[in-house]
Amino acid sequence: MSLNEEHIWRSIQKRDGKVFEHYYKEHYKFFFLAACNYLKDPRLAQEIVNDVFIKVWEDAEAIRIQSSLRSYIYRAVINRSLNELDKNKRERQHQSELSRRPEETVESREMEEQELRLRLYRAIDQLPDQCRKVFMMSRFEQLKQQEIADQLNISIKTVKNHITRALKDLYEVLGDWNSLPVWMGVIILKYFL
Amino acid sequence: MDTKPSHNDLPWELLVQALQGELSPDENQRFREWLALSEENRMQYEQLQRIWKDGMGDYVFYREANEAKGWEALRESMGERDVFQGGMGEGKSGEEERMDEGEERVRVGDEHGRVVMFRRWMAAAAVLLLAVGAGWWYLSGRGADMQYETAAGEQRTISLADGSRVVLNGQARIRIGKDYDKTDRTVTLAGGVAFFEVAHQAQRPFTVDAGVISIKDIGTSFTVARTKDSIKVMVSEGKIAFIEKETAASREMTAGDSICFYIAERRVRELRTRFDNAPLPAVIAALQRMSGKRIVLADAALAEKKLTVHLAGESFEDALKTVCASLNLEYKVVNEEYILYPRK
Repeated sequence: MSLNEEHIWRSIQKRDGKVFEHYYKEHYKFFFLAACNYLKDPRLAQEIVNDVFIKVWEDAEAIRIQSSLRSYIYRAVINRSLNELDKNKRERQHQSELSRRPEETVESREMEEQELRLRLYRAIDQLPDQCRKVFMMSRFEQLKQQEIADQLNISIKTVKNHITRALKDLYEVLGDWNSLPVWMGVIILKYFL
Repeated sequence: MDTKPSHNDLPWELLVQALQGELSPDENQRFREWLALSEENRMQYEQLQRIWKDGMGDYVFYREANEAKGWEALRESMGERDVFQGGMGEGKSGEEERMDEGEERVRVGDEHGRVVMFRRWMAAAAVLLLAVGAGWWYLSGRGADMQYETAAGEQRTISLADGSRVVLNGQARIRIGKDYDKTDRTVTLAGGVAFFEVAHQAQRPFTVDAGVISIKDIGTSFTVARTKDSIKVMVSEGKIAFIEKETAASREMTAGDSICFYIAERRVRELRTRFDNAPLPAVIAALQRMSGKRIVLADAALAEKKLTVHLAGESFEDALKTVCASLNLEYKVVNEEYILYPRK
């Protein structure tokens, strides 16, 4: 554990609710997205993250952290998500295909990729409004450039410029992105609409 | 210090077209040439593809992530369990401590002999937060129409009298008529994204009114996304009728079908899962879009092949097998890419 984490963890063990809350809020998006990555269900993801945090809070004294607090919670969140997924699969034939549990050896890489995705999403939020809008329409609504131009009443050239601008920015942010694992390719169109 | 190649040297014009699948034949030619020029180029393009495809997949969830809401929910569930182990706020300064005078504290020794505190006000506060935070509804002037609206990032489930369920994503607005489940079952989606899970009743069809479009359920679950420009419908299970009110034109949609209707132009675009004598690259593009995986043709001549196939409701691998079977192809997975080649 890093010194900082060590300090945080000791405070949580001493039942310092403020530190706990701060840690939760600071890392929430990371764990939430990790769960979403498997579940594609924001409600469930929040529930799982909260369950894990509650457990951590309640059992803090008994828990021994080996590597880092963050990877401890990460692992718990992923395991819960996978359990949930197995359950869902039985219940309603969830369309998702993954079944591989991450090996411990790839765990740190997964966490790194999770971190990169978060950075990517933050970068998208930083784009100018119109630029982001065009980018989203193209990427998520799968509209043709002409369709976007028509809808927004702008020229197709402007559409291209916006998308180029967006991609350039994102490319810059993620210059060091390594290849993403197969299990990431899971989607549920439901939330894509 | 910066070893990254300058991205301004990249042929962005071509790359953007390629990522969006909008290369003209001439551009395609130039793009291929650029790719073939160096390994570096190929890698840069792959990186962009990763950003564009895999990397973006969960952005929708990122937008839903809300640590403040999460925290509220967490405190609420801890209150519910009645095991709130005092402390959450134990690190208070003396001044704050005094402000807690009115609260009721009960000290209980747990089995480990630790002293825990249960603060009753905590549960009460959580309930109040819930009431305030759960969006709002009001009785409209006409009587008892119910309106629900969600804040950005909020997600809310509404259970209807007949057992149907509506899940609202952030910034969605719906209205449920006062006669819901009495004379008919109509829900009006004024804007935003809502997922509907309908308890089927043959005599009383479930209808979503989305302005110029209405969607009539035939026993199913589906999602409707309404913006001022477009209305999208995607069917998860069962069947629905997609009705253009003005012309009463109706089309049936089944599981896996998606449609986007452009309001201004009154034009429908199908987000396809069904292909009829379509070129293989079109099918592959759809498969990639749906799965987030990468599929590559081992031989450019394969791009000329055509096929008829319906991909809805199949897992990715099954869908790929179906495609292969119908064209006498095989696939192998190399470096997380699915490579299609002619069967020997």
